[in-house]
Amino acid sequence: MKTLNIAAIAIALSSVAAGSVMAAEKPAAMEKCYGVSMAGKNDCKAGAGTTCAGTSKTDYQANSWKNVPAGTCTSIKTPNGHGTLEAM
Amino acid sequence: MNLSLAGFQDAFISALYGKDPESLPVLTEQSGFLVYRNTVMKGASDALLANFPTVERLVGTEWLQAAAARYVRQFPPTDARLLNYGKGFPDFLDAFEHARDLPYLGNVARIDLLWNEAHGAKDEPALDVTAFAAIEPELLASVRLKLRATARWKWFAEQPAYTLWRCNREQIDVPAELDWVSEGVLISRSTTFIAWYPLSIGECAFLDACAANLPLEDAAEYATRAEPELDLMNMLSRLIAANVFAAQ
Repeated sequence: MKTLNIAAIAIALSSVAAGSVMAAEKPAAMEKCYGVSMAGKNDCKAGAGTTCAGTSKTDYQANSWKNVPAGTCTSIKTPNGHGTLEAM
Repeated sequence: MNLSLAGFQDAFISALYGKDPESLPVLTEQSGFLVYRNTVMKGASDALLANFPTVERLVGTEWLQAAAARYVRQFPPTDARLLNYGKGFPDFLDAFEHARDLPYLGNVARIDLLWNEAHGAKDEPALDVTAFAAIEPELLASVRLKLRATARWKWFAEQPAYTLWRCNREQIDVPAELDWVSEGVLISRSTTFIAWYPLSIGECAFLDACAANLPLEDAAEYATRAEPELDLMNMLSRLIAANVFAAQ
């Protein structure tokens, strides 16, 4: 079994090396990834922690919980049913 | 007031997160302090929303902001680099009473976390595949493949976490008839982009074994034991193309 595994890997390697699979990735040994956006593929937020909130009024206490999920989760059916639309 | 600088800083942090509001009345009685505290809270909350964009699409901005507000108060940042904030957020969501009907939310958050880790990981040179392929077959068995820090993977039992994450990340609709099966994910950063791939249980086992510094022979053994029908050739080609291996 083990011998078989290694034989398969050796064949995979020779075919990979002969092919073009790794052609895309050559030198650039040190790479940088700035500007890869977090959300979609093309939009660009300023990044985490850049908000300036010059107020003391916004309520971040969140003592009462009135929020219901309002995104795409409501369309997803789990084995136990849909995500709820009602406040709990 | 006669505090050392370190003492003052500790009291400041404590007052900031409301743990001991009486400790520095001269500070907390200033209206400017409330602005300061609010800005810190909002910064941490915004960081969570920025770090978990897929969760945000699933539950909406308002819901996530409210959940984030709770998380921030319970687990304020301990690292100034807010890119790293929210490591405990998936566990928080798993236990969150208001997310009970969304049992996949924690796992979707886990994949966002993997993305962030791949995004922020240290640069490492990639494996020279040509040189690697030139290794004599009889020596190959004992080679230990190293993985780049920019490659992250995870197996999710009994949940199509990858499909749920991918559809929402790519902003497309989740299939109406979703198979409720186990799925794995691989996220890997290359020169200019971060790519994601579905991963089988055998492929996950192979990567786990490589990460545990096992020789190729054992890694292949683990992989085929986890998934007897696994095509090792196909797997290796996929993983090399995904740029997961580091230079030897």
